[in-house]
Amino acid sequence: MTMDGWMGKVLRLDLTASAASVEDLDREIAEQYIGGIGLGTRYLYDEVDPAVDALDAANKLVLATGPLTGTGAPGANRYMLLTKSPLTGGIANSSAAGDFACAIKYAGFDVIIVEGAAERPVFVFIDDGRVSFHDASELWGLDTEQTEQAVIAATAPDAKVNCIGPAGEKLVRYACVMNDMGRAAGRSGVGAVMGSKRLKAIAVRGTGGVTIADGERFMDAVRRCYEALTDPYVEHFHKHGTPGVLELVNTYGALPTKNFQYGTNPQHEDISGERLAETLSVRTRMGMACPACPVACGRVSRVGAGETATYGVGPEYETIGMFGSSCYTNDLEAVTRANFICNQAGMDTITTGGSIACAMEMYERGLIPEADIGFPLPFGDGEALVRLTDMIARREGFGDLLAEGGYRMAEHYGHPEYSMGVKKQEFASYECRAIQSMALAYATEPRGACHIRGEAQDYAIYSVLHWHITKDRGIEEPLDPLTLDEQPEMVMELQDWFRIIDSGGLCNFMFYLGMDEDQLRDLIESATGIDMGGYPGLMRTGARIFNLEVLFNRRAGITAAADTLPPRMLQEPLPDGPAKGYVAELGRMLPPYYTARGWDEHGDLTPQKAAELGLQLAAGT
Amino acid sequence: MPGVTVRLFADLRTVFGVRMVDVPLERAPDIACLLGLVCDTPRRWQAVFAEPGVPRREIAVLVNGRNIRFLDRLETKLCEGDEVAIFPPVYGG
Ligand code: SF4
Repeated sequence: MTMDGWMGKVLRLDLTASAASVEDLDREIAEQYIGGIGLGTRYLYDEVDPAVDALDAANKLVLATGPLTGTGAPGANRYMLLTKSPLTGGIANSSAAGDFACAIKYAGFDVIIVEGAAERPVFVFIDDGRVSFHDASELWGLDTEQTEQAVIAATAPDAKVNCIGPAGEKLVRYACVMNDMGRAAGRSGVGAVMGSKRLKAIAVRGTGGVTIADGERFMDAVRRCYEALTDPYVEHFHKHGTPGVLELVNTYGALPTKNFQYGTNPQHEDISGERLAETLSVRTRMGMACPACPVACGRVSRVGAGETATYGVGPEYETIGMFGSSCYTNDLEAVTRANFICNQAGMDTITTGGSIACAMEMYERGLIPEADIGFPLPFGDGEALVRLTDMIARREGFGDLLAEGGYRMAEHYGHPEYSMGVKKQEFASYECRAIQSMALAYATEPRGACHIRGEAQDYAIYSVLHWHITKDRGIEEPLDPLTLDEQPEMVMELQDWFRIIDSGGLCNFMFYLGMDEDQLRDLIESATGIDMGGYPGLMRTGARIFNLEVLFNRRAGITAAADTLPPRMLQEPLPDGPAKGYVAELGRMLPPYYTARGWDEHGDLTPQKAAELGLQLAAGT
Repeated sequence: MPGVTVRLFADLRTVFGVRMVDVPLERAPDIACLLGLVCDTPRRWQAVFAEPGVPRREIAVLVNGRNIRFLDRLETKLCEGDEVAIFPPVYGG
């Protein structure tokens, strides 16, 4: 059957046998799960025993595009990597933008499933429909930039590449997968799973295109989306990218400082987006854009001067928040150096920064002897930060222990309470005692602490008020970030709504910059020809996907007891800033959240709710 | 002179030409007075106000980190040492 929007094909790569096979995409499943996070979760749920060790050959890596990926709709340039996470032991889903994602579609596939493990390092070349396996022994040990260049040189000049760096090879539990010279599928250790399979890179050359069901309606929808993205403030985002928010987050008292001991950083100006633009950024007038993006939020920075200068992509707000404020270096040069190491080694900057901040606090409290680290590790020591980041990437000395993640490191010393995260994954750069909705979103996100699968910060501090979530409630002004009113329902709706963004294959940023649910639905429906059932149907699909992720976790042994926060968030009132005196009121939000989800009091999906969501397969699990 | 400190962010820095202004408390006992005082050119006024007495919806005015919408809006009283932050919409962490 021909399909529009979707390519209708799934490519299966068996690394153990060096064999590739192609299957049809099941249209019914595609309609129920759309693509990206949805379709990927469904494949993972169906095919991977959640009890397997994440780094065992029995785990699989699913690369899933959305029906809009590569269509030219604004920001429709993403793919999602899904697997069982070596960091959390639950579901991992990590997405990246770039040409690589579009190339998968242009080569004729919606989904690539990587299974088994190669005996020796390999890379795979997908040249339109032809697949070949290549020895990558010579590439093993190369950083991500070198790898990308080498793989392009070995395949085709127009091949698009994703790959791991040394961190993925060494199974750093939060290694990421990089593509297109600096875009990262960052979180939850997807790069370690790729490393465990000895898969160094995937190169894709695609020369086809995506067919659209209703071209006229689609082009009309695309035009309206572009119109929604002409807000003059898009300009600020274009100029400063994500670091432009740092001062606002600090003003709200939500900037993690010294491993989340404080919510404001007196030296925040030293690490602001503007300071970055004035000092290290080298491409501020014309940012870097992913395909089909009218915003171009990326930027290039330089550290050092003359012949020793190094250039790279970033740093993003999250990276500055963790390396700059949570580690309290307040030094953009150190932040950027650590960022470049992470990019080259292929390592998540958020968990790297969060884990080092945790080690810094424990060092200062005398809980980690200096002899174990090999050098002093106080907050604010930029040199130690850069050195330790490099040691983690190499799993050298104390870096070997930190490569296990902040939680396992802190647990090793008998003090897991100093690890700031959820489900063993570090918080993003938002202090959740100052944004109560964030506390609930962090605690309940299936992949562990995360800020982008349900962006509770958007309506709480960024004045994003054009989605149904606020409009349908008559909310016309920003919500007090300290209020608990309606948060359980709103966070649930956000999580479900973001499942659709991440299924379609679009960049989140399009949505807080102007696009809404109806526009996205219009794009998906006109591209694929399906009827999503209006806004309620869209949200039901989002809920179906979210619940399936939770079911994967339950089968992996992660119960609702893991929907919690570190004791610091729950018991220690924030000592500073506008949220001074507040703790995260999770206990008051969680029961109504479970009720809103239609779960029982233990946080488990009820058979009725499963049936309502069309999750018959899940009943009884 | 402690007074009230007003901090401007992002593109408002270009519009106002400064990052920070100190205002004596007697001239700005509340937010309405303060905004009237600092928005002293048509360009500055337009950047902050939608119409007389109504700040633009997308502008966030915070007193010590609390949005005036959760305080007494334009009538929010100011005290010595207060910090007022004015943000245009910024997105994207
Ligand atoms: S907004 Fe930024 S991350 Fe998103 S598609 Fe555009 S350039 Fe890429």
